[in-house]
Amino acid sequence: MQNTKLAISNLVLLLPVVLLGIDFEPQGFVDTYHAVRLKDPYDFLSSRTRLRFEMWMIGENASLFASMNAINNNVITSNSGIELREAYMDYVSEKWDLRVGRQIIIWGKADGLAITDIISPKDYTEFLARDFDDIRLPVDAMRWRFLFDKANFEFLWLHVFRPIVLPQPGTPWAFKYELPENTKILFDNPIEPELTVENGEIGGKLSFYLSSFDFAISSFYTWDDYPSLHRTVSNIGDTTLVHYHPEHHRFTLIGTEFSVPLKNFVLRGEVAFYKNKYFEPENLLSEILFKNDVLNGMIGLDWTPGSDWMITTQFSDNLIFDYNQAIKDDEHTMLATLHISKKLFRQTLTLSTIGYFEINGKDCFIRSSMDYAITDELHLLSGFDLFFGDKGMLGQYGDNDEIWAKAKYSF
Amino acid sequence: MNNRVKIITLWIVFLLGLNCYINFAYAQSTELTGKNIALKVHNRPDGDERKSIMQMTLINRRGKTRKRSILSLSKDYGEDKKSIMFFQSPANVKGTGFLQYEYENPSKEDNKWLYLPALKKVRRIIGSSKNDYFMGTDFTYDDMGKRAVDEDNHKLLREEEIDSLKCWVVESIPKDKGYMYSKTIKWIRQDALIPIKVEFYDKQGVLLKILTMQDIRKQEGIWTAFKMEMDNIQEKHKTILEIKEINYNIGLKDNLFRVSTLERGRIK
Repeated sequence: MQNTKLAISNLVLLLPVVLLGIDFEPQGFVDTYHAVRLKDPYDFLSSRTRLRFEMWMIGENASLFASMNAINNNVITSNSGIELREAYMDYVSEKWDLRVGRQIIIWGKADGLAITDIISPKDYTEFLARDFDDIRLPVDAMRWRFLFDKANFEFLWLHVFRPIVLPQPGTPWAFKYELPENTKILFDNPIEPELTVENGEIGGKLSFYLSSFDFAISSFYTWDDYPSLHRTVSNIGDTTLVHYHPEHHRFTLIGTEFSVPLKNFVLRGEVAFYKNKYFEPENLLSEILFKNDVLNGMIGLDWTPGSDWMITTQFSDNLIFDYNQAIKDDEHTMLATLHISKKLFRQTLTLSTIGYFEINGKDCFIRSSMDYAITDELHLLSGFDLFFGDKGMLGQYGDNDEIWAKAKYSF
Repeated sequence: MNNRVKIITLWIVFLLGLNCYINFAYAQSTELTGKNIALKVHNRPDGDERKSIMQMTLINRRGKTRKRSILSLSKDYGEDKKSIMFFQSPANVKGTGFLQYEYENPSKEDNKWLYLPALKKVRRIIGSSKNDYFMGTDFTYDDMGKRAVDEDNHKLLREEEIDSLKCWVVESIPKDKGYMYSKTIKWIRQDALIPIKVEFYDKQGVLLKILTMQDIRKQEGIWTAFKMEMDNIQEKHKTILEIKEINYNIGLKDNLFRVSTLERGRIK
């Protein structure tokens, strides 16, 4: 009975393909990734296998795209299961196009740094030990674009809030807290905005694609994907209890971005002004949070010297206005990245190293990898992740240096 | 009377001189030089719009093959050209797209954008990596495009027949001494104005690659090479490029050649 129902539903889905001459294109991949800690107890920090199934149905002016993941995760078992990743419909006319549904939306020119790229929240379940495309989470949204010869204007409406996914306590990538003696912490579930029209997020972006450079200005009225850590502090006998009541707050982004090709180089940049961001106090026992404006900027240079070399470097600075010394974050948070890659043997072997360097905390993360295409469909990858420094966002994972291997078959 | 004879004589001399000058100038412009032949090939009618499906087969020295399939659309805007292409296979690069605006003026850099479906992001890329090989094939980006005539000095070496087809043999030496080829020699079929054989010499002057064009026939009145084989002699690797489908002047809309089209990752 179940099979009959499935067959009928499949037939109904495929009818338009047959009757209307719509192109039907299934595709996807299977990948399996396993990482082992490079020190005692040499345990698995990641061990997961995934089937990604994607499907396009393309008509004359309308199309449909859907992708699903079936995941088995042996280390973070709560991540195992089947999920609808993206599912959206496109309509394209001469002067505008519309995309509605669950989709990944990317703004900005930066690689791996979120300056204006804050539409799709991030999944840091395994921190940065995932590919960029796995870190972004899709959102339920409507994207309406007005198309001109050398420019676009896009209007976004996200009616469902989706927060960032942080590493869960008890997993290898959980954040480490240094607590004073006799202090305990307790977390409530974050308060998220209710599903109402009023709580929607709206944005607009005007992009120009000119002969000498690309340029865009953007604005986004949004909710902070990171919950602000409001807290109450109480004493129970000798123990101090810090009870967190995380809550998401509104803020506004105004941004600009550009990309300029210059001979063998491409110069990229992005600047965003965030109005009304919340910041934690340095003192864990203080209940007062700070609300400040922020300027976040990035400048990057891509160098393509030829012979399949690619060198990319970026520098970013996050500046808190009207800074108060009691804020936990530094007034300036500076980060640099370097990415070097080289393709060999007719592009069947790719060697790559990417480094993130936190200048304030003098900590860094380096991921080196080797990707060999046995066939176009089957790739074997291997590499290592190293963390340097004692503290900071990157240095806190000093015990998580790992070696990893991955196989991926695309179909 | 004498004055009249003088004026008539001068007028006749002037007309004869003018005639000689016009004949000389015409002969100069139509003289069969290497540059004139290169210009004929460059300006050969190839439609104002093209839509094609290409298959590239890469064959290594052990005979192992890899295949790529590409959907390509292009449109001429005067001397300039806009093109967009999407990879249809293999699966690991399916949906990867390139948008390119090529300018005839060599001092104006081409504009290029790349779309990577895994990252769902368009990025501006540079227009000057023309010497890199295209997706592991034996064709460089420059081999696949239309090289400006003035970038090389051209010399007609001789006329020759290949398979009973009359050819001009033209040697082209790049003006840029740092270019990856020291020279190319082309056998240009005189009726179709298509090079049916091209030899590429490396910087040391040693033969590097041989390109042969096969299955040349008229499609919708336009001479088209349906099969190209690029043989890398030094690496014993070759690439066969076959045009599976091609249509000319089919009314491609200008809005296809935009970044917004590239961002959709697909065209029908």
